[in-house]
Parts: sequence; C-alpha cells; structure tokens
Amino acid sequence: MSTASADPVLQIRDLRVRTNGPRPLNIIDGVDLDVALDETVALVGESGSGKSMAARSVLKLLPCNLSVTAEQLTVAGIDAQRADDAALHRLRGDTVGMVFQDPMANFNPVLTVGEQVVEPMRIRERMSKRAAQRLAAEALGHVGITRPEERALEYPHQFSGGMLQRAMIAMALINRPRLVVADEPTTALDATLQVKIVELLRTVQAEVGAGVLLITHDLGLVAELADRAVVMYGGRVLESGPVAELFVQPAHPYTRALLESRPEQGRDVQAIPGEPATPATRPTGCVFHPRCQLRDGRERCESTMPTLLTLSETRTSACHYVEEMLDPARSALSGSEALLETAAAKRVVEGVAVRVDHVSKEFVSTSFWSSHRKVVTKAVDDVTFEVPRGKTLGLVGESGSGKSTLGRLMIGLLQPDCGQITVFDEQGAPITDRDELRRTIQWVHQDPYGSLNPKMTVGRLIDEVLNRYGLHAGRREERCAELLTQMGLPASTAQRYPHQLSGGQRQRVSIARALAVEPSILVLDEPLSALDVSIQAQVINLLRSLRESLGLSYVLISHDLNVVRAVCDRVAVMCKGELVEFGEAEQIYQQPQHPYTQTLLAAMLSTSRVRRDTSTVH
Amino acid sequence: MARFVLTRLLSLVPVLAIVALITFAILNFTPGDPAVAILGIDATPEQREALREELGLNRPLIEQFLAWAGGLLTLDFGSSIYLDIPVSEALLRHLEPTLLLATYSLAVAILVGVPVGVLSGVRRGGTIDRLVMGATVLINGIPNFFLGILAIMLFAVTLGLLPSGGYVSPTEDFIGHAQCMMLPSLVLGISLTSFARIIRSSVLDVMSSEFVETAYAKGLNRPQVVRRHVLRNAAIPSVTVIGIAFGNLLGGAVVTEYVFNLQGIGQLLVESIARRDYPVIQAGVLLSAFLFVLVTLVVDIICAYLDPRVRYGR
Repeated sequence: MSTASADPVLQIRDLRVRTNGPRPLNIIDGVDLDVALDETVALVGESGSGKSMAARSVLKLLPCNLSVTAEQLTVAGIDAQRADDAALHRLRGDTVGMVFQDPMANFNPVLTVGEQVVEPMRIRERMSKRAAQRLAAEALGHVGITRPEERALEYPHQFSGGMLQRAMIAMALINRPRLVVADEPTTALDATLQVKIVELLRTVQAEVGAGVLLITHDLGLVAELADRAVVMYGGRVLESGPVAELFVQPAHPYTRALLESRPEQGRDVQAIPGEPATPATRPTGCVFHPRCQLRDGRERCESTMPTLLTLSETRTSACHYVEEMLDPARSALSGSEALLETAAAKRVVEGVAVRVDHVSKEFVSTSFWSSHRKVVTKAVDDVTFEVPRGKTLGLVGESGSGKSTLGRLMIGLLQPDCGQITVFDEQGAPITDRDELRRTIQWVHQDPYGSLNPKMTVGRLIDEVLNRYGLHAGRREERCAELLTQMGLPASTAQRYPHQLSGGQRQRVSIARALAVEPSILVLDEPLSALDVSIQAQVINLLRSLRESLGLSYVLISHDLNVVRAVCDRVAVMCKGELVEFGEAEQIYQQPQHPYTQTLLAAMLSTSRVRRDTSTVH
Repeated sequence: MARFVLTRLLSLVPVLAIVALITFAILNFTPGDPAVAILGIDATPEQREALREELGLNRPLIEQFLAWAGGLLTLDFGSSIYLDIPVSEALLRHLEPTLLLATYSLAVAILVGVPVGVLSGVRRGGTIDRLVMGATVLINGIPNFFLGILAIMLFAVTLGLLPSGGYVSPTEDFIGHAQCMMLPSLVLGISLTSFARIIRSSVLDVMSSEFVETAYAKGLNRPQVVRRHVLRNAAIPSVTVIGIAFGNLLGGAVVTEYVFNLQGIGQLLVESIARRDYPVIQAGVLLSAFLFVLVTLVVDIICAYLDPRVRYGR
C-alpha cells in the first residue's frame, strides 16, 4: 500500500501546470502522485484545487492554453511526456480508462449507447457490427443494466443519469485498462447505485489488477473505496496517507476542515470559512493560511511555504505545526447531533405552501417508423402530499423515480394529466394568476452548467429576472450586488460569464437568480450534487439561514440521504412514480416503514462507518 | 414517421389558404389596373371598361376571390391576362430553370461550404480558418449581380468560353445546358458559401462539448473524433440553415435570373407584377410558398434522421 509498492502504474514527480501567456498563472505547483496496480488512490479537494487537472494532464487532455511540465510522468512504463501522438492515443484508449463526472454531457446524443461503449475497442480491431453489439450488451450487463441487448441500441437521452454513468464505466473498462481515472464518478448517482458502482470498481480492480485514481470531493466515497488519499488544495498536495489513518487523525488543518464540513447524519455541518484559493488569488506562504483554524495569527504561515514533511513511511503533511494536529487532545472530531434533533422537535406545522392532490403524469413516446408501438411511462402515479410553509420537504428516490417530474409539475413547467397542484400565498389563499405563481415558486436547476446562458454575464442573468417582474426599478444593479453578496460571492461576479465560475459559484448564482424575485417557495433539484463538500456545507448553511430570514419553504429533490437528513423536516420517498413513504424526517430515518426506504437507508454511504471500524483496530 | 409526414403535409392546406388570401388581398388593394397595363395609357375609358368586363375584374372582390379559390381546388389557376396562356403552363415553363439553378447552386455551396466550414472549425484560428473567414466576409460584401457581371465580362466577353446568358433545357441539349448554367450556378453558389460560417460555428460548438473530450480520452485521434462525433452533431443546425436558403432560392433568385437572362420564376413574377397579371402573381406566390414548406418538411425529416432526440420526441 505504500508509495514504494511493487508495480507502479502511474508515477508523477513534480507536476506543474501553468497557463501560457505573458503573465502565467501556476495552476498546479509541484505535485507528486503514485498509483500502484493493486490500489485505489483518492485525489481529494475542493473545486479549483487542481485535482481534475492533475489527473487529466496524465493523458494530455488539457486545453492547449496550458503547459504541463513534470520531472517524471510515467503511465504503465510509458513516458507520457515524450510519447508521440499515436502512442498517446493508444495510451488513452488501451492503458487508461476514464470515467467523467457528468454522464449526460459525456455521451454523444446522436449515437447509440452501445456504439459508444465499444468504440474504444472498435477503433483498435476490426469487428462485425453484430459482434460489437454483443460485446456492448455484455459490457452493459456487467455493470448492472437490465435488458442490456435492448438498451445497447438505445440513445443516451433514453437513459437516466445513473444508467448512463454505469454505461460510461463499461466504456472505460472495455479494453481492460491498467489504470482507471474516475473523475467524480458517483456524484450524479443514487445512494443505492453508488454502492453498486463502488463494488463494481472494486471488482474490476481485483479482476484486472488495475490501479484506480479516484478524483472526488465526496469523503464518504473515499472512505468506502480508496486505500490512500492525497489531499490537494490550491494546486499543491497538503497531506497524503492511508485513508484509515487520515480520516481518524488528519495531519493537516485543511483535511480536518473537509471532514468536519461533511453533511453527516444529524450533525450540524461546519463550513470552511472563506473562499477556496484560485490560481489568481493564491496567497503567499501556506496556500491554506487565510482559511486555517489552526494558524492563530502566526506569521510563519503567511511568510513561508511549508514543505511536504514525511511523517511516516506512508504519511506526509505540509503544515508547519503538524505536531499540534497530531496532538491527541485535538484529534476528536466533534459531532453535534443533539442540536438538530431538538431543533426539529421545536418546529410546528403552521400552514401549507403547496398541496399536491392525486397528481399523475404519463409520458408517451412512439417509435420512429411506426406510431403503433407506444411506450407509456408513468412518471408520477397518483401522488398526494403537502409542503408545509416555512419548512423543508425532502423528495427522495432513485433516478427515474419521478421526483424531478414532480418538481417540474409543482412549478408549472409541466401540466398534470389528472389531479391538482395548488400553491398558496403567505396569507394562505390559493394563487391562480400565472405570473404570480411563477414569482411565488422558483426553481433551482440541478445542472449549474446548462442552466445559465453562457452568452450572458451573471449580472445580466439576474437583471433579466428583475426586469421581467419590474422589481427594484432604478436600483437593479445594487439589488444584484446585494444578492451576490448574500450568496457569499464577491459583487464583481456580476461582470463575469458563467464559464469563468466554478461549479459551486455557478450554483450560487442559480440560487441568487431564483431568489431575485423574492419567492416564498424554492424547488431545489439536486442543488448540491455538483458541489464540493465544503461548498455543500456553505450552501446548506446558506439555505438554512435564508429560510429563517426570508421565511422560505423548500422542496429539496435529492438522492443524497445525508444531505436530506441534515436539511429536511419532512421527507417524501418516491419509487417508480409512486409515493411510498411520507413523514417527519427523523421518524423515517429512525424507523423506515417501507422496504424501499429501508434499502435506500441501508445503502447510505457514511464515513462514520470507516471511522468506527478503524478506531477499534487502533 | 409516416404519420409525421402526413400531418406535415396536411398542415400545408391552412398555410396555403392563408397565403392565397393574403396575396389576393394585397394585389387587389394596391393601386394599378390590369386594363391600363394591357391597353396602354392611350386607350379610351370605354375600351378599358370593356376589357375589365371581359376579364371579370368589375365583379365584387368576394366573388372574384371565390371564383379563383374554387378554381384552385381543381388545380385550375386560370389564364394569364397578359400572356394569353393558362397560368399553370406559364409557371411550369419558368419553373424548370429556377429549380435547376437552385439545385446546382446548392450543390456548389455544399461542395465548397461544408468542407471549408468543417476544416476551419476543426482548425480554429489556423491559417485556413482565417483565410476562409476573410474570404466569406468579402464574398458576402459583394452584391450578387456585381459578381455576375464580373463573371460575364471575364468568361463570356473576354475569354469567350461560356455564353453570357439565356437558357437551354437539358432535354434538348445537355452540353449547351451545362454551358449556360455554369456561370449563374457558380455565382449564386459562391454567394451562398457564407453558410461555411454557420457550419464552422456549429463545429466549434460541438468540439467544445464534453463528449468530444471523452472521445479523445477513449483514444480516438482527431480525424476519428471529427468523423464519428463532430460531423453528425454539427450537421443538425446546419441542415436547417441550408434548407431555408434552398427554400428561398426556389422562390426565384430574381437578380441572378435577370443578369443571366434565365426565364425563371423570379423573373416571371417580377414582370407579371409590372403587368398587373393577377392570376400569374397569385399562383406564383402560392407555388413558392408550397415549395418552401415542402423543403422545410424535408429538412425536418433529415433532422429527425440525424438526431434521435427529435425522432423520439423527447
């Protein structure tokens, strides 16, 4: 398990990535990384830490305005820096398989899933169409897709996100690679699926003996899957070591802060104060010192850049005061579960914000050549519940369970086939006016990449909404700045375009835009799934404080049961379009009645499990 | 699919009905008198009155419209006031040059525009890209007729290689047909190559999508990525633009037809407007609308073929 282990499949020494141009910015600043054939290494950090870039630079998959240098960059014995184009293409398809974050965007919409899954193999060796189809079906079946023969012939838009991610893993594994690079592979998946994928990746590692480089911000996933973790921040490695040791006793304040900001069952999450360092705003000395809890005003952190100290054969840390971190008195990570439970008990139901009354919605699709073959999907099937005012309702279920459709019905983007959805204003009267309805109930989209028009600045995006409803006439710019500050973004963000922002910043812009019209109800469709843990915590805290100060009601659509537990008062569990369970959050988490809820909860990934396991060993 | 085509064909009926009503109304409410146009300004009022009587122009408008619309249902477009032949015959005679000119120039535009657009999109910022973008701006800036006159001066007058105008049907003399269509098709086709720009920007769009990155990560080289992943996606928006351009050409490329003296639909319509030849104008506009809608239907079918998301009506 050590770095010196026998069969290194990836060796990186002193990797540096900088932008080209007259004033180059260092994005990655001297990173060392090793992955052995039989191990899984997690690269952990917030967005902007350079973890994705470090992994992509291995295959030279970076945009051409970045230059990569390294003392050593070896993949399975091949020097990637000196490889010619042909060798590089072979390296990419055969030796290294990649799994990306967003499966929807990573599949070509006009080719069938099967074609794309076998493509890495088909470009290497000739095979008949039928053989390719059989192979695709086999590969899809292997990753747990039912009816793989039929599904291989379908197109990406006919798949749910979870299934596509499985297909992407099948695609990465088709050539039996020696190294699998997985960039946030489970971020878009359900809890139940996450377990399957994790198991799948493990099996592969055992079967093929592939090394796995896992890039993630999900510490639960790290705990579940990785042998070693390398924590990156601001383009540098701050700490590395075996997961079991690192999670129990982090040797760097940043690792500790990351662990504490994880939305854990019942515990109040602690956000890391401040913004992650970007290449342009990287501080002198220790990159983490402006946000560090341990620093305590000491000058050395600001003036001197700490070197990566070797603590033991397997552990390193780049902190001047690492001995304080390892002091046994500090090491217990605090939990404050009681706080949330009492807070939940105090809340009383006052009014109803939205009533969903026996609502059903079907989707009918027809085949290309004949209209006779009709496929009817019952997305939402006779669902009834109420969203209490000033409360948060969690809408939980696997992908394809109809939870997003239900959200769309609530905001009026879709019309129900039968049944009725009523939205009430603050006085408790039902709203009938369409404009008024749109203003009262707002939507935060799952994908902060697709939901912001790339051709408009953030300022214009928000201004557009204000203008539409004639709000804050004459001082719209100030209102926009106000909103951005409220979201924890600098007011200057208004001048920037969405592509200049990180995923977390974009999601906050989406929330700002939704709140611009001062709605009383927010429907949040997987608002956190694309965000880092520390940002997740910030957004959760933000949503909480907004609910208190603005008296908002939330409908939170999510598959992340930890997040739901940390935020929601009520939980509605959806399965195949039906509402299988509805009730107080704590009650459902303590005593799930429906078997489906029980499976979901059992599948929940948690770092606490690992922590408990390892502490008994020590 | 069959149902899709059928519904689209049925939707032609209201479109054409509205076009018919509007052209009829506009024509009859604009000043001008066919009797004056035919007899000249020297004719006496009695003569004009007699002609109007003969052509049925003194009947109430409603009656005129109903009579015309009734004829339409049996595909009887009436007779030309000026040419003294049935309108359908006049249109058919002029349709052939227009159809063929549109087809040839579309072929030229596709043969030049598509590879050029793809190449400059794939190698964005390169020499080819900059050359092509400069050239398309230049060509867009030169009016069609000017390009046509330059071409005539060079190839017909100075070099004497090709005829300067006129039309020969391919069924009569294919070589002659090719010779006389060469210049107008090239001129019109080259002026259409601006859709190289549209193709370029579609290619750029697709090149920056994540699935293209995935394709590289899968080990495909650039030609493979472009062929397998970029082209078909980039074709979807381009087909729509090309289709609309073609639809416009079918309405007659008036200026080009005049410069090269091709007796096409565009020329016929312009002359008929000057002559107040109402039946020809009305039927000509209807025909253009019909062809245009037909082209958009074909475009939609191609898009459905290219894009499974359209096909499965997501």
